[in-house]
Amino acid sequence: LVLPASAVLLVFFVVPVALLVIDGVFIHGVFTLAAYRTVLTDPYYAEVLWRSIWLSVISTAICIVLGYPVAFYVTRLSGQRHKRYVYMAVLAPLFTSAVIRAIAWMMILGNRGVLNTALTMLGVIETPMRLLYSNVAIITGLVYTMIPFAVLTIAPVLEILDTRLEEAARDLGASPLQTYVRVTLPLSVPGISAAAILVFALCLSSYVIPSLLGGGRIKVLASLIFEQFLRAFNWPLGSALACMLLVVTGVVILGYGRLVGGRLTVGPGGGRAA
Amino acid sequence: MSAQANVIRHALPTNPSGIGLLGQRILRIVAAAVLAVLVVPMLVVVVVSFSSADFVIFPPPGFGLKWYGAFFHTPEFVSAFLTSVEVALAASIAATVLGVPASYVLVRRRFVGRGLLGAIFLSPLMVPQIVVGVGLLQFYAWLGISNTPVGLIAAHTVVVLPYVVRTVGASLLSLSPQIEEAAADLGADTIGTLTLVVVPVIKGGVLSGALFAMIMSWINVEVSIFLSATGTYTLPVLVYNYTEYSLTPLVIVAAALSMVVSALLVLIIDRCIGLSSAMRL
Repeated sequence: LVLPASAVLLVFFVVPVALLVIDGVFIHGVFTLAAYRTVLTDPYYAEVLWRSIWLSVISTAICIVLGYPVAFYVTRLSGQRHKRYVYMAVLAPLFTSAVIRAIAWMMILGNRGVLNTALTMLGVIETPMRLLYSNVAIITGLVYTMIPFAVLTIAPVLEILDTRLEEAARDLGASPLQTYVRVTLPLSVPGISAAAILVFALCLSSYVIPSLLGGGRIKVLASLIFEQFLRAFNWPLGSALACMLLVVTGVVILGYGRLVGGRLTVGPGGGRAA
Repeated sequence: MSAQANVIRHALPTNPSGIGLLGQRILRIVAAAVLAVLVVPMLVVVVVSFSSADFVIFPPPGFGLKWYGAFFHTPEFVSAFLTSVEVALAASIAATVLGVPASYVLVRRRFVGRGLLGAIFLSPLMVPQIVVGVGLLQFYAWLGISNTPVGLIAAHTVVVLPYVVRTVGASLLSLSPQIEEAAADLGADTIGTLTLVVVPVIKGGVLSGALFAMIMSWINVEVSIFLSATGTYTLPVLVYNYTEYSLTPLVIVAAALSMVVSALLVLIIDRCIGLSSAMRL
């Protein structure tokens, strides 16, 4: 019964990814590491890789800072109905195409976008700020896209947190702030680190958001892969870059698997939320 | 927005003592702000899609259905819309047909390598979509089926399969194996047990899994973009190609329509088994 599905996965998933690995080291049928040498020695690629990493790190940090309160809030809600509304709002971006999420932010951040129009009308600024096609725009888009993943990864950890420990701390004379810092926060660390790992991997592998909100000028690793395949037609180089991305995210995701334990297998709460 | 306001007004944490009243208040404000930021951008897209202006501007100077009319009279967009519908239907049906039996075996049977197989079934979620996309691009070029609808459908099937496997797996776990054994003890054969006991219980899970798969195929751009060319563009890919140059009212309408379809599918899932239980939080 698992055979048909396994066969389809093998042919259309395992084989293509394996082919990618092979293609990175064979040019015209000859084994060569030229593509990897280019990637690893040319300072241009080092610069792009470095940019991808710091953009992802900053986005991940902001994402956790904004996602954690939502996760905390939703787990402490008493009414099922309210929980549902909050989850609907959290999940909405996940059911929207990445292109559309990018478009929405283009309309908000553009020179004549929602934000600049509003701030000009309020008299805060006189000339529109240049927000779109910048690192700020990319980070905004990435954070927006990844908040749902952060919330959905942190919330289950907070859900099983024993609130009696908080009560005990309060009864023993701790202030709300002390209770939070000494009890609640340490207990939420597993959720926070799992979310950070997942979000980082997802940021690193997205290219729709960086290429649209960066206006094609700000290059990241994933958009470079895109270009090598669809614009420059340098497939070996593209394959080498894709393999690098695969390895980096693979290592990161394995770390995630360790953290969330058995949740990577089929079953309740398994794997990525969407 | 009113739904959100409602949430914020009525919701009281079950445990007010833990973080104190001030903490609660701060938490509520921050959470409400973040939730607003999640929802508002989509509302902007919907509002602007009804604009009467000839270019994308906010706030719109007037409202009308002008650009919706234009959308349905632009063959390029209509054909991309239909391609997306076809691919989403075909891929979700294929993923359901393949995924339901597979997840039954993964949940019920004990065999060597079961954990590994389960991980492999969910791995398309873990591998960056761009890697799947470029891998398939090369594979299809090698097979000589570049830019064919079949190739696109197969790719989507693989990408959405994990959603079916996981959702169905979760609903199977809610059915105790003892109930199946009881049915067998009472004289039901394998087919009888499956149709009379298993199917009724996992029906909702199967339907939600299929709908999830459909949504994920419908919104996919990360993989599709490598596998479609003029004529086989899906809606998100067409929108991407336009957006790379400039935002036009037609693109905004396409985006709004795409969101409406997703929203309808989400509502059906919510009706079937409840959204949060579908997401297994």
